[in-house]
Amino acid sequence: MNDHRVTTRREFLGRGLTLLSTGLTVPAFLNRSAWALANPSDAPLIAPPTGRDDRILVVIQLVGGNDGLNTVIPHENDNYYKRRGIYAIPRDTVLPLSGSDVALHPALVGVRRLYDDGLASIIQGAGYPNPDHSHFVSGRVWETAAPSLTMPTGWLGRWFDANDAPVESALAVDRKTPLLFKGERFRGGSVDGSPEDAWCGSDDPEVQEAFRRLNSLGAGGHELVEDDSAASYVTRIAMDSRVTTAKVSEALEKPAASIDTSAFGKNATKFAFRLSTVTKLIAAGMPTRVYFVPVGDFDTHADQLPKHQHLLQVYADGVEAFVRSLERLKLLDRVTILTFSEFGRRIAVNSSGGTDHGEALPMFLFGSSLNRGVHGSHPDLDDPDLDNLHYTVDFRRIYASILRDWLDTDPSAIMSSRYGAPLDLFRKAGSDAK
Amino acid sequence: MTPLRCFRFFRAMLPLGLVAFTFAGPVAVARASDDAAPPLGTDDAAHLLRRAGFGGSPEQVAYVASLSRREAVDLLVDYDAIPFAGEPYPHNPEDIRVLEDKLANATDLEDQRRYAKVLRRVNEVHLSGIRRWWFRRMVATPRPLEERMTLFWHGHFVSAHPKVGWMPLYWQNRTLREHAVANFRDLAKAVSRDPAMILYLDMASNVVGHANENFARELLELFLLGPGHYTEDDVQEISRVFTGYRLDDDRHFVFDPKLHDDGEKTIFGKTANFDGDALIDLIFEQPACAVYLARALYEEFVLPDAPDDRVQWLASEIRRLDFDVKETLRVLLSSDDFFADEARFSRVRSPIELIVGVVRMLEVAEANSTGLYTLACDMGQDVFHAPTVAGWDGDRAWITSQTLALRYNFARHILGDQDPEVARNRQLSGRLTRGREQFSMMADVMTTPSLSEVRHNALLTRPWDPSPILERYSLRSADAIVEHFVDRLLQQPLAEGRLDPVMDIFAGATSFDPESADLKGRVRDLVALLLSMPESQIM
Repeated sequence: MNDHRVTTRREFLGRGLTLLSTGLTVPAFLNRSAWALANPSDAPLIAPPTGRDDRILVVIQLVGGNDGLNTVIPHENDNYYKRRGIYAIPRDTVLPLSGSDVALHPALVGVRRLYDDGLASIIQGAGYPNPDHSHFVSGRVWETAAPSLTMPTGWLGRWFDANDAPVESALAVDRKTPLLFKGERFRGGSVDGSPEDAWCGSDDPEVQEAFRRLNSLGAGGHELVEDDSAASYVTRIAMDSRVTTAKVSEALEKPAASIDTSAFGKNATKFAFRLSTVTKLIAAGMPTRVYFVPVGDFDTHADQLPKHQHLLQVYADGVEAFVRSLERLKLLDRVTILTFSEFGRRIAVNSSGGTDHGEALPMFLFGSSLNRGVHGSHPDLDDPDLDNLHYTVDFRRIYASILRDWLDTDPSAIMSSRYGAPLDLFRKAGSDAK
Repeated sequence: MTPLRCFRFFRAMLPLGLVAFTFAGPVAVARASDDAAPPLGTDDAAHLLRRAGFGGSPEQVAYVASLSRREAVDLLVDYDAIPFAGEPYPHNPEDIRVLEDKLANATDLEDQRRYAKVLRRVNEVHLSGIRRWWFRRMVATPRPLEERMTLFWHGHFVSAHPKVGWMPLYWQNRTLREHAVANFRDLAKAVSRDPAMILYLDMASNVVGHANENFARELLELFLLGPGHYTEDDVQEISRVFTGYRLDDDRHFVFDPKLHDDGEKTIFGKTANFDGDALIDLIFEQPACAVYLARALYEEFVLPDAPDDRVQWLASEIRRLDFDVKETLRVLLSSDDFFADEARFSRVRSPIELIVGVVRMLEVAEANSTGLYTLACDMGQDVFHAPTVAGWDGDRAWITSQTLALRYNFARHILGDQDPEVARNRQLSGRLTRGREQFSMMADVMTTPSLSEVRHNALLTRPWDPSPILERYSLRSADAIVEHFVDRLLQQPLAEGRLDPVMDIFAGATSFDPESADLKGRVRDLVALLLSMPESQIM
């Protein structure tokens, strides 16, 4: 295919459809949404290729910093009970994980069931060198995959930039798109579970038409998209959101999206509701490759035991319902779910019955293509001078495995390589299942 | 004319029913100003009113435009000179205390449940009450910088529901307002003793022998210095300093020496038995302190991405003025930085700036303050309930596909001529009620509005009536009407042809009589369109 580059805006606008046949590279100055809106019949060209490449990653963040020590519990280590005292999870209630020396918090019974069915993996002690204890800074490190804090873009944002992906390729089921998705050009979209209808400013079709014209490339609107001003930013979002909204609405209205959501519970939590929305979108064939779903607030500085238990229950019940629904719909083979948090918490409990910001923590993976089991080693609890759990595996090795083995991408194109080799978190094709 | 006389003059001019929410004087007064201090001009005046206030109507812009830069800034900054009754939030603390006592003394389980339920309901009503109260204040105040700064500090020294009850949050709001442009050092000390803050950051759990670092960390990281300017040891030592800070039974601040760690502490390399106030003084001596405040103010008032050299300039002014916020604002708002081209329209309007601004600029008499608060909440700015201790991200983060749709549609709620039932079936209602019916509010504690129902009544008791404006300015043609409302609502030059889609609205107008229902409908459509353009979302 010819790779015809357009050099000026005038040339592009002038040639319109004739450029399609020459395998156009969408010019950097014009975002893809603008093109999609101007040329709706070109939409199929913009959709990502299907087949083996339509794998989906669902990223869940435990917002606030999860207390990993009471989540994946070193129940055979006496120091755990010594150091946590009455805030340790009682030995007789934890859920041991077969083939390992750790156990899960009792509220994670849903996760244990998935683990026993070979659909879950746990990576212990994930973190990075010289950890920061601030939500903002440490969160940035995990989302940009750059402990040096030199990257302004999210690791998945960079992946989307490299693939020149359309806006609906990443969807946050939240009020805003996370730094995780932000590339130099790519931004991703956000939805919070229900379709957006059209502008309700007027019933009059002429007024509706005026609205559309004011928010698109014509009528001087094209001036607005090209620079980095606040006005351009709003205009780009307006166009992106029309595209995302249209696609999400379209998807949710398809018959394939009317799935059985009873697994998520009748009075579903917001987290479960968000995951049920993701299930519907996947079932309806949304071309989205990455979904982001936050759950929180895990920042348990006080009165941790009941709060943490409740949060873990919400998390586990939601994830279990999600995985089982995908399984029933025969979609699970296309989906991997990753769970992270911006940091773990301190070993000792503070005077309010809570824990302060800490360091390493366990990550969870769910899917049907995993090397199931508990990976890595638990951070050291034996050294009495240690206040914090030190990391035993750099989290970038987990990201690298996802990039290489799930998203078919060379990790060094996305992250610097000074963190060690990618972990082997996925089964190789042809290897034994469970 | 002194500000006081301006205020009284304008009040006398107002038609009945309009809230006296402005401070401007008569229209287009030609002032005999000092030749050395030229009049500000329309663009600069509109910019100043947008950034230091909630935006100005054409009369207000014209008045401020006739002042010199110095006079205009003084008018906004010296707001103490403008009288404003601003009622306190009406409530009787005794009622709450009686209920709490009853609950505490109830021995019967049924009684306990009953009192707990009533108390919960009463507290919900008051939480909603203080939110409405603050919105009414923001819409009505002739001292908009006072409310702006209160809101600014509210997002800086964060304390939030549900961890903190409505009453301490209301007291904190008053404290922030009292210190809104006072000395920053005094404000910081007041905050360290503020009941809402003590509750929010677990300060009462921070006792000798058992530190709780929450307050110490946020004091350094978020309130005064910013990340990277202190060590973990500093955090730990500072928590020792604030041991003993707690609340009495009436939730007022009290210092308990028995719980205080009375030893020497080493902080920023200095060793002494610091008390809370002395420690705050020590923090203020760190060079990073003035820089942190400077960046926060510069980004709030001038440019969202402040250049380092300009932040350093403002920091040196802050030090020279010894952290006096009023004088710092006077310097900042009079500066060439503030009035520079790149500063104009460089920020996204926050939900409150958008909502309160539009209500004020459309001269809306009585807006349903519950509706206003609900909308701000949906757009992501839920007062008294910031998402994290870091406050709101602000600027471009306010705009996502959902919030943009809400922002574009909110104008129609202001215009109020839709049948509430019809509105109910539309985007706003449909989306939210479908979404909310499907999850239980108690279930997980994500950061969303804690509303138990979504009310989408029209925001006004009757549809917005453009005739007073049409008459006052004798707007009798499509061109005149469009030009006036573009000036009123967008206040910026537009590209050639940008307004072509809008001109067609008046193509079929049967009459330009200000009382004509047909014309009023078209003007409302015009306003809805203007407020659904990207240009309406920035300031």
